[in-house]
Amino acid sequence: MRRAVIGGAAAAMAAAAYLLAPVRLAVSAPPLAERDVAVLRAAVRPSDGEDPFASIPWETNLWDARTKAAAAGKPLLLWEMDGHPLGCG
Amino acid sequence: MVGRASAFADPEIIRLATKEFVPVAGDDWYQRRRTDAEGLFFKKLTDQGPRAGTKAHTHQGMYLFTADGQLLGFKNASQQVDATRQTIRDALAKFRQLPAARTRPGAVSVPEHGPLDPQFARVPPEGGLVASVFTRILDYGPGGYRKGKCEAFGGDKAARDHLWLTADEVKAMAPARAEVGSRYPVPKAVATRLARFHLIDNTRGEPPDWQPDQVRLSRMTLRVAAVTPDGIDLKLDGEVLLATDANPAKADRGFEVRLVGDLRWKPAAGAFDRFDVTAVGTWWGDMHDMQKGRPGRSLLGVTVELAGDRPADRVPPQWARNPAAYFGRE
Repeated sequence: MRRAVIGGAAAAMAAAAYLLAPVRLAVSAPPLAERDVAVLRAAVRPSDGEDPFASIPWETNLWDARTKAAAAGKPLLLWEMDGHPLGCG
Repeated sequence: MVGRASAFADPEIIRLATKEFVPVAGDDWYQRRRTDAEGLFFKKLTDQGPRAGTKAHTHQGMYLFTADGQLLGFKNASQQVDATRQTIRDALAKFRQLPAARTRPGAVSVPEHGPLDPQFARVPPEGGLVASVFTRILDYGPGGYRKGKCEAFGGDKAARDHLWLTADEVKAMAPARAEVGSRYPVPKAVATRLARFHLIDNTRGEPPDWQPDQVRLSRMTLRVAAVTPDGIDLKLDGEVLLATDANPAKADRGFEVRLVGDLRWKPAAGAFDRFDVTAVGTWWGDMHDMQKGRPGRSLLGVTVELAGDRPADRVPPQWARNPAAYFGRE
């Protein structure tokens, strides 16, 4: 009987210790070897022609654009977005 | 973004924007708040549009106008390619009907801008570093990493952002000793900025940044790899764990990521002429107000490289909206 009580207490202490133990933090990201870098960068970066929007010579300063338009005798096309106006494809 | 992908893939719209107009892109979050000359000019434009007099919180859309501020056309989005093209053509026709005294080169005089709005105008840090940041979902196969696939429209494209470092932060990243093998940590402000604001899945919209306590683990080290007359070559190595819960297993959103980098410091110039950082990791979880991403854990890659000198390279980092947080001045 006494052995059973001790065993139960030990199990409870072990469970408490498990619950209270700090979470072990580790990064389980995929490997990133030197040989992967060139392939990885090519996969992430926009490929030539992938985003036709980027082929337009966008100004990003409205005042500079006004000045250029006035000098060239052209109207302006403003693409206005909430967020990075040239952000994602 | 959906509209942009549709309309601005049209060759005629690209031709019109490039040849017949001066194309300019703006961030409405800033421009609708600015109280300087640019903000007032933008308000003059929006007051001529269909949202004038409404309580609209956004001024997104395509505006076609003269250099002196007359609105010639507007479209709130550009999903419909034919309608967008026609709106642009109609605006060009209106412009050509205006008197030459307003349209010939040099006819309009644009005044000096004057002081910038101190709260809502952003310019790259003087003497600092501007880098381009690209992010994309990835898959992995026999040939290694490749562009990922997903069901969200446009979610497979590379997202673009910029990283800004101040002049002091650039200097702090330089090696104190030009001795091959010497190691030192990436300055905390730079490591924190990369982790909180640039190790983010922004491929489907505007995600939240990581809060300071959500950076659960961050280690980034620089090592002097070579010293040559060209400069000092540095290798960056790091790992970061970002999670919305202290126990990553319980976090509804997270990113476990490894980083490597090749940087070159030019002592004479006091600048980096190479700043290539590459990161890959497993991302999980979705974000409010964004299209759903891939289920479960999936690969996400991030690259950083020195930006060029086009106007598009001066677009501020997304999280420079909160400069105190972005530059660690909270």
